[in-house]
Amino acid sequence: MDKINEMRIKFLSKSSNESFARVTIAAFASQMDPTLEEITDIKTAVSEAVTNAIIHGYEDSLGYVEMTACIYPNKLVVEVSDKGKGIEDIEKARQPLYTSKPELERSGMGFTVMETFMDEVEVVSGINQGTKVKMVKYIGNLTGKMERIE
Amino acid sequence: MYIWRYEEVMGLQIKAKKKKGILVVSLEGELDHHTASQVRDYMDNLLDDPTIKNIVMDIKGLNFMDSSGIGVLIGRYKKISKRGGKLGIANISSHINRILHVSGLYKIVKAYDGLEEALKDMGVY
Repeated sequence: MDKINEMRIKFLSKSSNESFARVTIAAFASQMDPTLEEITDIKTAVSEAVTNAIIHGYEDSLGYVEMTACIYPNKLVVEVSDKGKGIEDIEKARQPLYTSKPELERSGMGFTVMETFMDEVEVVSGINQGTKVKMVKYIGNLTGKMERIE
Repeated sequence: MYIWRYEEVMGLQIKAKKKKGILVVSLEGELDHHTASQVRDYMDNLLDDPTIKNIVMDIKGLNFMDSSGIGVLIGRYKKISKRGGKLGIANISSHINRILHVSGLYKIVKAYDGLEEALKDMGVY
């Protein structure tokens, strides 16, 4: 399906950029005329993915987090990637309540929240090669809803 | 009742007061990983007061929260439950409700429609 629009940004893995990423994706997605709930869903999922890149991807070091977003007629595709240390066991990382950093009071719910608020979540990761999280949100038009049911 | 401390970090305002052994914390703005550590430090500092038995979080003005907020809530719950206390949350928006629900937080904290209801339930009136 034809791509309508695309954007790409890169920012340092500083926690203050979590809100920057949320505001940016909300502004970009707003041209799809989503509901307030859909916008909040996307912001929340992006916040989780960016936070993971900052805390887990780069840990105490600084690196770049990249966010791309593509608008299609019926969906928004967001990718958040880092060039950090990667995830050893993706299946384990995606389990609710699993966290590699309990000392930081992480709830281990990041991927669960992404899966709850987005329609598709795909994770690609390699040790010391970084992690890419691709998320798809169908935006409330009929075509999108039909595809989701199928 | 008195305002105990007031603190503002980027994107989040925290206010707290103590009422009959209940620590009432109001959050306004956005609670994410960036602002979570401030909430944690701020509340833990106040929780050094052993006369605090229960906590009520008033999140009426909280317009964003992600799973970092869940970590903060679970952490404070653990602290207060160690002294036999409870953690209540008042004024939960539908967005935050979904996050609390999917995280299973309602197994350990109680939700209230409003602050007055929470205080009443915890025996202030």
